[in-house]
Amino acid sequence: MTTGPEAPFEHGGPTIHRPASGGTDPQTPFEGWVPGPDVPLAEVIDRAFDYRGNVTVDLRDGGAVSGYLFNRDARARDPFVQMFDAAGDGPITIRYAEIRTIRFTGKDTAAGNSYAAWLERKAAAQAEGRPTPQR
Amino acid sequence: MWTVASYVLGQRLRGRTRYPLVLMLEPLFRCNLACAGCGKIQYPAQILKKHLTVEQCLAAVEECGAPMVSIPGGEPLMYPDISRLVKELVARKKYVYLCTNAILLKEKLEAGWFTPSKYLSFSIHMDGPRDAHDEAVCRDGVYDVAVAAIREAVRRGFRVTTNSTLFDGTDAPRMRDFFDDMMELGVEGMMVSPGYSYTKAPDQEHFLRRQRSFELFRTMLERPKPRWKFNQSPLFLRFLMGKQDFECTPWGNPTYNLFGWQRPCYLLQEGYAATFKELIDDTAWERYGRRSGNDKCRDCMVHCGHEPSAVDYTFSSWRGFRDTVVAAVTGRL
Ligand code: SF4
Ligand code: SF4
Repeated sequence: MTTGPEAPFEHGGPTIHRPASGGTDPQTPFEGWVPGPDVPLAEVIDRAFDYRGNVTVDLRDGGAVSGYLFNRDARARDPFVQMFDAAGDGPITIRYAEIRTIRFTGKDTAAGNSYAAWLERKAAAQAEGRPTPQR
Repeated sequence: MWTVASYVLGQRLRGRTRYPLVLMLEPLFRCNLACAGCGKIQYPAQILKKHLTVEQCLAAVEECGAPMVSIPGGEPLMYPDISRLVKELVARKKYVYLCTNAILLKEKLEAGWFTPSKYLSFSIHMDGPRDAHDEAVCRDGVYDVAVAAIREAVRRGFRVTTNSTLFDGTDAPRMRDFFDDMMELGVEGMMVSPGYSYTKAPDQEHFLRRQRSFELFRTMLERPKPRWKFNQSPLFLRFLMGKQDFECTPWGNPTYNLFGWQRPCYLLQEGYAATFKELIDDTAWERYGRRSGNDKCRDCMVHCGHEPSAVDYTFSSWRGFRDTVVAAVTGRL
């Protein structure tokens, strides 16, 4: 075996094409969640940041923004979230101070896609003589 | 090798302790597969439809300054401007690794989207032998499509490497046969990395824990065959085998995508910085890596966090340099 000294790229080369990305919380079904008044806003924002679906941010002035919340910075001098709206426009920056609550209105795109579930579907299809389901 | 060596030495001479080695440039999240271990593609439709412009990509490359640019995704061959992006990067003498599942590769090669260059390598996603790969990508027939694409790319004079993410249950002896098969196809080098558990990837059960990783990589890489070529630091391979320890250096492979500069690494998404400088200067790096005690990093051994550490060790100490040379020359890990 060599690690390819004849290839100029062997160190710190390319990436592995299996990019899984991480959140902070265990997978919990948040789809449809409307947080109660007892849940601190910072926690609701953290959950929304980890959520892989659209949310609706209800504002203190009575307005609302629906879309994907992709960033939050609680350590900033004036903490904020950032979103792309439902049409994909953005980024839209909203200060924590403007937010009343966040509703988890969109579908959780990570839910129901497990490897185990695919294996089960595949085994069931094979047992019934159907073609293998593709993802 | 010299490109990397002179770059790393230059960074160290300038006193930079946190420098990027490979920019992970994700122009889009869209993909034509939906592998269970992948956490990059679970987004609402309006996000999947978006992509970076070539100008945004080039600005990020400029800002970061890393000598190598890896383009994962999503599937980069679904990025409509991939041909222009690659041309621009090659013109800038960046070493480009286009990481693809290869479903569209043959078609794009036939359409003349790419020109062979020492700066361009296709890094083909291959998670093992036919049945293992098709199972990992959750679609039958993908292995054969990828093999045909590798043959075509090699035939046309392109540089081709493979990358394999390994999960619990990987059959080590069969992986050794797989390495033979890949070398037989004419690939220039292979890459391996353990899959790692973080919560947004839908498949939580099959990621490898640290001890299991050591066992798997030891069995797989012990007495490596002389014909095997790995496009990786031998010290990183030793790390995977549990023979060497490295702390994570997540800034080594910074990630840029539609959301900005991802903190802290390619895997974890804890927020986004607006600029590369902000990423480097304002990320609480002490919270990451195994020694930090962060639960999310506890079992992590992935390439993007630890290979830059191995490379830095190689070029920042005589011992690291000696160990690397010995492993490269003798083929012993
Ligand atoms: S091919 Fe790559 S980006 Fe696409 S789903 Fe699989 S791992 Fe994810
Ligand atoms: S140890 Fe792994 S998860 Fe933690 S920062 Fe490093 S690469 Fe990311």
